[in-house]
Amino acid sequence: MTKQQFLNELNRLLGQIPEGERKDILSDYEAHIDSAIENGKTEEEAVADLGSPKTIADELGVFVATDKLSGSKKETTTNVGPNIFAFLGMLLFNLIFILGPVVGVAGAFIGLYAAAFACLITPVAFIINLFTHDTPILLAFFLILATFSFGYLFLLVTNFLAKWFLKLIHWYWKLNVKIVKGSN
Amino acid sequence: MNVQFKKGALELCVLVFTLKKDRYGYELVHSISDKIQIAEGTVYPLLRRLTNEGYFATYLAESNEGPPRKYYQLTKAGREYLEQLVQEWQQFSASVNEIIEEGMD
Repeated sequence: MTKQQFLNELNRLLGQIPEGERKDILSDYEAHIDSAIENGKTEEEAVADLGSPKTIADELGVFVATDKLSGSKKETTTNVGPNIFAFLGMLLFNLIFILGPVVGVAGAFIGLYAAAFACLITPVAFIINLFTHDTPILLAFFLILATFSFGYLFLLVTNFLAKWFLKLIHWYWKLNVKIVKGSN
Repeated sequence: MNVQFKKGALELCVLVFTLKKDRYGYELVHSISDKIQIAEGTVYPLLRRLTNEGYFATYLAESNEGPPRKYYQLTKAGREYLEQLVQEWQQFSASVNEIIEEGMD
């Protein structure tokens, strides 16, 4: 591939990048090829050592996407309009669709924890029972063991689910922040 | 070599090469491709990202031959980032070496 072919191809692949930035990128590669030739490479070699325009465009694509994101973040201070709308929109959406279920699920977790706690303290009742009534000691022992293990397992499972629930909320919160900050 | 692995190392190398003196694109890329096999073109997107993130400042300077060259200068933030990367790298490679030594005995 000649230098011109390489630059044309790269230019085509970077079509969605604004012209100023695209020219800047192309000039980096042009200067590189020129320097490589000055240092004794043939044009063909200099171009081949760069790798394919496709690989370069892929690499740039990622960065360009992140640049856009950080660029719009910077704009938030000057360009407040769309962000207020995004913010109000998200607020309304969250109040109507998200808040209810979240409170519901949180309530369910309180219930689950209460149930687990109840199971865990049931053995106390059995122990008291041992003194006040003449319950067979083996039966009491097994009941204590059973309710306590069940309660403990229950607590573990609830804890696990609660952790995921919190993670989900955290993720959703970050998503909200991202939408409000980067909505241009 | 593993691509992600190479990318991380490449970032480190680029920053190290600019620590003592400012470098222009070709110089930087060439000094790396001399030692590590890479597609030279992939270094420029990296330089761009590091510049956008404020680790590099760029300026143009005249050269004896041909048009002015774009130089990359490590910023204060870049130097701090480099120090952090070097530390992470040394810990990481020390651990890997340890594992290799233990495993190859």
